Amino acid sequence: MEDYLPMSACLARKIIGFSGDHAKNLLVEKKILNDKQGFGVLVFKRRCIRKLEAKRAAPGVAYLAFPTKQTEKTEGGHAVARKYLVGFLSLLLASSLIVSACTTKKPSGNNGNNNGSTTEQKPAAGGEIIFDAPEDPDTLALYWLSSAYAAEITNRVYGDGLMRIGFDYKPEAALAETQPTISADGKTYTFKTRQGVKFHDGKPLTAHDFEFSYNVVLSDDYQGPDKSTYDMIQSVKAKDDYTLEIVLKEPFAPFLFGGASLQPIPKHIFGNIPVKDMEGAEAWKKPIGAGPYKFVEWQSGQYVLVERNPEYWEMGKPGANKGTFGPWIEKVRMRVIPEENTAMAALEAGELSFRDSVEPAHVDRLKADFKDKLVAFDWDRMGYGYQTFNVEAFPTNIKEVRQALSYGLNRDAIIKGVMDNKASLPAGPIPPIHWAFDKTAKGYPYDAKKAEELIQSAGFKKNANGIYEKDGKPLKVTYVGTKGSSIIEGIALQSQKDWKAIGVDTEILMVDFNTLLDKHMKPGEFNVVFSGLGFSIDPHYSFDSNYHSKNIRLDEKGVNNGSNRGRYKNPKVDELVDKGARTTDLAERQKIYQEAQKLVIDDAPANWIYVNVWTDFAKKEIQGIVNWNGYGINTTQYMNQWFTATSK
Amino acid sequence: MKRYLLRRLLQLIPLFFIITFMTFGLYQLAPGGPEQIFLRGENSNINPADIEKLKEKWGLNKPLHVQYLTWLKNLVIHGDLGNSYISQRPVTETWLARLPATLQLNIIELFLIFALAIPLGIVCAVRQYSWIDYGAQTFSFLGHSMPSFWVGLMLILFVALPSHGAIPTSGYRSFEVTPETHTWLGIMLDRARYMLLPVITLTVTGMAAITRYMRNSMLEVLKEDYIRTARAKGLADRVVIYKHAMRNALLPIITIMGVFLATIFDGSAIVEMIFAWPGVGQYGLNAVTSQDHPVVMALLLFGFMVGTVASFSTEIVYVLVDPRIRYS
Repeated sequence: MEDYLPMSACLARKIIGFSGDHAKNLLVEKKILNDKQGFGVLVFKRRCIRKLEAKRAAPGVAYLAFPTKQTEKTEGGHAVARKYLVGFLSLLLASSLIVSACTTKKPSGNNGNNNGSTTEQKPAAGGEIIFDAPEDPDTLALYWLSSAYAAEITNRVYGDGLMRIGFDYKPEAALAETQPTISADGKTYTFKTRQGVKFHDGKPLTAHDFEFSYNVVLSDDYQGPDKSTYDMIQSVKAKDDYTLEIVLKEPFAPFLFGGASLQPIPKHIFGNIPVKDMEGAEAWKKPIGAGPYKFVEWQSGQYVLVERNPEYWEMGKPGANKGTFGPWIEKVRMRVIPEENTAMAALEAGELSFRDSVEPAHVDRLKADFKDKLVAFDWDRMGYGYQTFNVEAFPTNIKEVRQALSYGLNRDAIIKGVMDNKASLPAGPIPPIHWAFDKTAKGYPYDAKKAEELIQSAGFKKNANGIYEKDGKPLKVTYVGTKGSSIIEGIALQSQKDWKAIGVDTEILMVDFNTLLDKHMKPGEFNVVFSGLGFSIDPHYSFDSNYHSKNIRLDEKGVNNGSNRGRYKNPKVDELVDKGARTTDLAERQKIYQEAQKLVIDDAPANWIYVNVWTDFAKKEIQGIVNWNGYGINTTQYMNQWFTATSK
Repeated sequence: MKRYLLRRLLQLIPLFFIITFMTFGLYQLAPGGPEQIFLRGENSNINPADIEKLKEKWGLNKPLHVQYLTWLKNLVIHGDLGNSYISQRPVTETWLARLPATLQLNIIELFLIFALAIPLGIVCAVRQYSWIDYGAQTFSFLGHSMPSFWVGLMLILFVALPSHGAIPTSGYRSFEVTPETHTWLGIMLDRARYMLLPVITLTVTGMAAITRYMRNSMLEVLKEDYIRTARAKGLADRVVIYKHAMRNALLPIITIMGVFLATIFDGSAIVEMIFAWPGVGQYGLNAVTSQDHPVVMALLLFGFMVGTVASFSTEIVYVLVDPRIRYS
């Protein structure tokens, strides 16, 4: 006890009696509070309270005040001691809070407005965004990846190609300085590539890199998912360092929407590798591109991390909704969370910065319970869920039957019952928000009476079971869908119910996707099949693949290997779709597709059921978020406008 | 004994062929194929000629037995398990990267299950029909019937979410805890936080069966004559139970332990999916759904080898533990 201060004899006896060493171990701190008055305090751990008759100071801590001088005013010592302890403990508490705050990932930033569409603050670099993906990326080899989640990373590392889709859904120049000049015959496109753009390793991006990249995907040795996107290109040549000439096989207007957005890979890294060996090349382990984010690391099954590229060419330029392009967010991390419910829990626990396309069942709850933590962004899908009719199999080979099935389905009930009211009604094959949509299109509103009239006009008569039949053949349809989704099942059941009411018997078959494709869709063993479609921003692709007769590719067994699953044939539509591909003037094209849409709606080869309204949620602290209708908040180019740190 | 073991080893060879060939064959029967998934055949307008080219490149258009023999040849002669179709990286590379995570989870789970279930089983048997016994039996039923994904999700919802960040909802580690910034102890603590819920899930659902086995085995042993003798001799109850009864009751548990040991390398795919644990189980499940043949065959092979080693070791341990057992 030598190092203890002089104190009253009885106190010293108490402490010694407690056993000297023990007391030392239990002592947290000793301090002289007031030298003039002569008080000191010994702070002990809680359990000494009884033994030493110490006073309780706070959870876990007890104290004993003692006089350092022999004075009568020993009682006041406790009051002073208490004051000291409050200070000491608040310091302890504060330091532990700081420690715990360091371990939780809260982006810094002030409480700005929560819509992010117009911001008064100037963005600055900093912050980290974490989002989830349900599966590990398959590969980061740019032209060979087929997972959308691998694309989340490569889109950020490689950025844009020559052209990209702008906010108005029309193509705009990205790595090209301006729109290309098109030759009179519509086949030759000349691009001026942007100068001053650098890859992440500092080397400049030139037209030679574009030439090299295009030749990779055009090569015969290339077998990857993107092969058909560049089919229309004949040749690509770099005229000089910043001029690129692309010659198409035929005039093809959709080229600017799709074919011109190839993301370039550096020639100086891949130039020596033959295309057939390129997919497994070591260089893909650390991809180098010219995009807004640089690749940092990929821990398989855990996360992929990319960090900001401060030299990005679009940095500082004005963006959509009066925002400014960055990238401002310092780090973007994609975490792998395979289970949907776990990802929801992570969002609610604040471990994720945002989540896109949250399941409709959770949306209302999140909007209500997390009003102060998360901001909701609703957007219409550029696509729809729809039923395809097989126009070659009875009874869906009869136009009136198809129209009747369309009139006879109560889509409003589906939207209310199955989709939680989170959808709108599409009128035809082009989604309502698309630039080529015909606003006058009416589609097939629910009308059971009209449906029955149509069936009767085709020569059907009701039999004893209440089902229509003609020539002894009852009106029975086989309905196939993929199992595992409550929405798909709900729609199937509703269809069965509604069609029963108009005298059509429906058999429902729910199978897994591969079986659906191989055993039903391809051989044409179905009347109605349900699927979803993301409509291409250039209407040609979706129109062509679904409704052009050339995409019925039957082999000798009658199995359809093409994408026109319903085997729909209308020469007029074929002609229009081909014409639309050749016309480069957008206003002209819009008219063409609207006319094609009218024809397709009339023929009713499909029944378009719903356009989802999806909701994305993001943390309140993130500003500059752009909600691009049709695609949501998670778009690579507009995420470059997000920021959490601000500059004064 | 040596001859017995040798005979068992030789029996493995035909077993190996049967298992691998059967799996290979059954797998190919599934509709679709890896080239379809790779080329997103259902969504795009891929020329069938291109699909054929890819099939040829991967050797998928050859007849079944030829494909199988190619795989076998690569394995036996070159020691090469092939590249994953999807990622074009060697299978062993990804597997080895994922293995530590699975091992960590499974070894701790295994240890906990046996450390908890064996004493619990013994206590249940010794104090039959007491509260502990009934409680443990109920717990057994519950643990056995509750699916692991449900238990996992309940833990996430009711333990992780209300803890405000103390216990994370999923994952393997905190991103800022690296060997450069934290001490070894700090890293261990961090991993422990993330491991807590998956281990609880696995232990709770796995403990049930072992507890019951131990209890039943113990009850049977306690009825034996030699236990009566030991008690009659005047030995303390503790000695009778722990020295004599428990050792004999442990025999069937050793068999089970052998089976469990074999699953260490496999990983519990469901728990790994729920908790986003980057292990081998998740990897295998993804490979099966994307029809990545080389990966599936490789995982099958590993499972087979580990299972064999485990069952062999169990038999050897048996001989060591029970002097009555002799292999002829």
